[in-house]
Amino acid sequence: MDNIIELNQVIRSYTQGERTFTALNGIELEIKQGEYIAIVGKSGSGKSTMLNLITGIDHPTSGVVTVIGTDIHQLNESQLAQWRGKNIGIVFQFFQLIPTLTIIENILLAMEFVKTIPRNERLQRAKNLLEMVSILDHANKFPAGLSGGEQQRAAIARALANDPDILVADEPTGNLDSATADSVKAIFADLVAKGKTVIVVTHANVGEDEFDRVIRLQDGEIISSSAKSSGQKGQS
Amino acid sequence: MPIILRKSFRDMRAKLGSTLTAILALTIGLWGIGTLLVSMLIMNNDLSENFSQTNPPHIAIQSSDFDKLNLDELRSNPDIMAAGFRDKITLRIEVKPDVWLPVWLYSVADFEHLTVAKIYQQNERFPPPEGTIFIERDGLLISNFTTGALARLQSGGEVFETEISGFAFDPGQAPSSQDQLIFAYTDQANYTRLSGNPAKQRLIIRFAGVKTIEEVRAKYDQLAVEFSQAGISIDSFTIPKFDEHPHQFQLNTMLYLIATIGLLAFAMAMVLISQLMSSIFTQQIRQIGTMKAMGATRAHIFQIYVSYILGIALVSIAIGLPLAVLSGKAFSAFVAGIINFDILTTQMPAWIYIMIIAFGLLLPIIFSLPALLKGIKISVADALGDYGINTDQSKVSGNHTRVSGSTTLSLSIRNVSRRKSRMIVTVATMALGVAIFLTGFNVRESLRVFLDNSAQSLKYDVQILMKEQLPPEVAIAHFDSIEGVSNIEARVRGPVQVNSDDITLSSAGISVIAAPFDSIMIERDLLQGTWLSSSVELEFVTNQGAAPAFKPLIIGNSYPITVGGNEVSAKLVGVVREFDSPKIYLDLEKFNALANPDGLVNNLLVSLSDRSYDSVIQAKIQIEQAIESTGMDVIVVMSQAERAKVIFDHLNIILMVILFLSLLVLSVSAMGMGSAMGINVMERTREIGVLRAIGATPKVVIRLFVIEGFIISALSVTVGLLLALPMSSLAAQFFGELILGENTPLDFAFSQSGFSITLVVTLLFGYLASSVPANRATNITVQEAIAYE
Repeated sequence: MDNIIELNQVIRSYTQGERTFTALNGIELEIKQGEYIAIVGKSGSGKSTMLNLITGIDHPTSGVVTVIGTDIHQLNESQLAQWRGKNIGIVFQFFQLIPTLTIIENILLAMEFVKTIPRNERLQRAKNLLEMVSILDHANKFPAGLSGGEQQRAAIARALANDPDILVADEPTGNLDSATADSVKAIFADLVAKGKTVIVVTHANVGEDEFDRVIRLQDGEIISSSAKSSGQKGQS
Repeated sequence: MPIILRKSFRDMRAKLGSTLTAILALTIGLWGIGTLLVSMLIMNNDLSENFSQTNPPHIAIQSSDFDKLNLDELRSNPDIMAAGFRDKITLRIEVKPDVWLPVWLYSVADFEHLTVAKIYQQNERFPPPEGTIFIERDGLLISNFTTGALARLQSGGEVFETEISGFAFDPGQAPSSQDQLIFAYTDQANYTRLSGNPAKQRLIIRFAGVKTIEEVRAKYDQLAVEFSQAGISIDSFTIPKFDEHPHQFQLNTMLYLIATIGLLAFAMAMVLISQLMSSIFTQQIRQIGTMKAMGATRAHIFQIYVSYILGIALVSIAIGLPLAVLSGKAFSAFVAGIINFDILTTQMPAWIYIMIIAFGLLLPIIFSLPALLKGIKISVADALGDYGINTDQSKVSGNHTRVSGSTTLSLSIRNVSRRKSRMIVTVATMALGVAIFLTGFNVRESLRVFLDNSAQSLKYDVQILMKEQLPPEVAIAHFDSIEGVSNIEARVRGPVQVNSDDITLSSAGISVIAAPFDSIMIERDLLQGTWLSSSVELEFVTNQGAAPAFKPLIIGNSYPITVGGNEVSAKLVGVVREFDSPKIYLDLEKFNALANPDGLVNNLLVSLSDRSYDSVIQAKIQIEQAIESTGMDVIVVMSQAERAKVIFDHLNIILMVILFLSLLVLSVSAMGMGSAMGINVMERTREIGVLRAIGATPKVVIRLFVIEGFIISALSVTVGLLLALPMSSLAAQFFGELILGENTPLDFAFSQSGFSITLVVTLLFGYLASSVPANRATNITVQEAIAYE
């Protein structure tokens, strides 16, 4: 299977006044298409920075990030936005649904930005996605009218609006009760089964067998990368 | 509706308070600038149009030899656009029982075929039947005249009656209501009967192809040669201001006022829009980040927020445009009523609408552009990493830790400087509003002080101007037995010729007042130099109206003047300021020695022992009775109170406009402060939650923001006051020169009442602007407040 994401000698550091803080230090990482990955680490370990680099939200200080064959940091901002909208779906911790649009409109807005889905197919696709995450009944409600779990499902549906190959989720279950969290995890597992690459960032302990691979970060470095199939933990 | 537009529309609804404030601010701004454009267009067009449609004469020539003139031949002269006889005499007319005012009675040869100085019919009976008169319509405002009534005119000491057959509109005249002067028109035979003077002695001419007053003078000089060759001797001639309505100064002043303040109101509305947009973008920064993460390009984000601004702009235009046209028309109609001209413009040209729409659409976008670009350019990481509206990027200076007093006060003082740039914009906007509002009051005060000084400078109560000249003792004897008369001073008022470059003034535009140099009847408001003295040298003092005739104007210089046919050299010793026609003052004795060997007088100033209004009116009635019984030929009897009213009426409209427009500017500034405070509270909703969670009662929270509001108000008033001082001084200078003439600034005056009102209004705005949103913020639960984004 080809690598869908490659990070080569990626360093990301921030300068604040005279102090330089290195969030990621010499990261080497390869993720294959269809993998279900967990990036785990404590607060400040660099996991969100890594997610931001993979999605093109942030730029590496040095090194190369290649996603679906594209050195994404060579793209200008508008190209990057379009590329991201088409290839990566992002699920935020606090859902970040547009509060003044209904749930279905949130999904349609994502399609409108990227325009890969033909206009006459968008509404039906949005409904299908909402049905997939079991909130079709709430299609015409505003986000404020939904529970946290329902909003997270809506955010997942929106992330899938343009049928991206990669789905990244930042602490997707951090604000959900355990039952709702389980249902969200089930959706992710289902997506992986359908061939999507799903990357979940979390600070919580995760069950090793839930993911194809669990990558553990500490102080900006990968301290372990364990794969489910081997059943062994290995140093990357 | 496309999703992007739907989002913009929903955002407008979601932030209803901000959206409505932005709409209100832009509406007021558009209303201000639209009113300015519409009223400037109407007034500029219509007063000029009203006036120019009359074919105003360029010159009036007086001669008793016009029976030798072939008028048809003159009219065929290519240099003459139009010419006709229009005799004029000043008589008196009884406007109400025992109330007499001067009347300019004109003879009109042919009412139906007027080619110069046209007058227009106002009723069905036109032209007036022979032997009757028409009254200029504005005279109705100060008289009891009705169609069919008999008017009583005083002429040559006798009273004549003549029927008022109707009313006319003469756009070339000053409004009767302001000048306390009636204009009447009659046929030549009736003119002769009423005035005792033959008709066809005053010829009015409009020249062809002249563009300046100098060209008028040149044409007249050619014509004078032709008249001389035809044996026509010219007695005098008058050249009015070139193609200018007598009250053009009022219109100019108001147009300047509207233009200045209308533009300022609009500019401040734009600042407000910019502030609001900036706050809206700040609140939506995470949404921008999310949308960019979803694939939105800068163009998408631009589209969304430009749609938002355009939505606000369209609603504002929909309200502001018709409002501007209505108020522009209403304001023009109001001014037209006062200056006595007709509104002719019924349809606004398309460019007015296009300009207002363009202002409404483009300027909010331009003024929002800095905030818009900042929002568009922000990176996804920064946008998503932003703590939203709760981010506080400003630093609290260490100096604040020294603030003593209660914790609430200290916290409020520190909070004021948390968003320094916003605080500066808020204070600057409010201070500018305060400065303009105060300037409005101060200029009004300067005018009021000027009027009071003018009134107080007159130590007499009634002035009598006679047509005939009498020995002083004879003239005084008619009135000195009237009860309450304490003193009567006799003077001479007559024409004077000045050899001046100023054609308008030199052609009979200046009067001479010959009064005792030590007269105590008038306290002079000297702009330069001194008053007349007992010096053996012939001295004169000019008022500011006549000052342009003496160029260069240097105190101590001698100028040639012609009095009573004698050209003499007189030394200029001073310049006085007065709201009056151009005049020079000479000492009575020296004038008599020069041009009045019999010492006759025609002007009496009467002072009374009891100067109350009732007493003056009573004395005036007795003076009128004395005039009627003695058959004196009098031009005008005017009390000081009436004179003060005339002056006040000339300036009152300007005062009203100043105050109204100043209030408009202050309102926009107050909205700016209200919006800034509202944003301030909204941004700190989470902080309010935290404060309440650690024990602050809603009362304490509200007090925190109210103190902030008061601090901003106090800063604004202080800065506004400092700004108002130079602005008021400049405005007093500007309006003084516009109203009174060149080099006659009004004195700076500080309006205490204006300052008190400004202080109260600003503090009240500060209180409301901070307490209302704070109250609202404390009404939500602590939990909601802490979770607020």
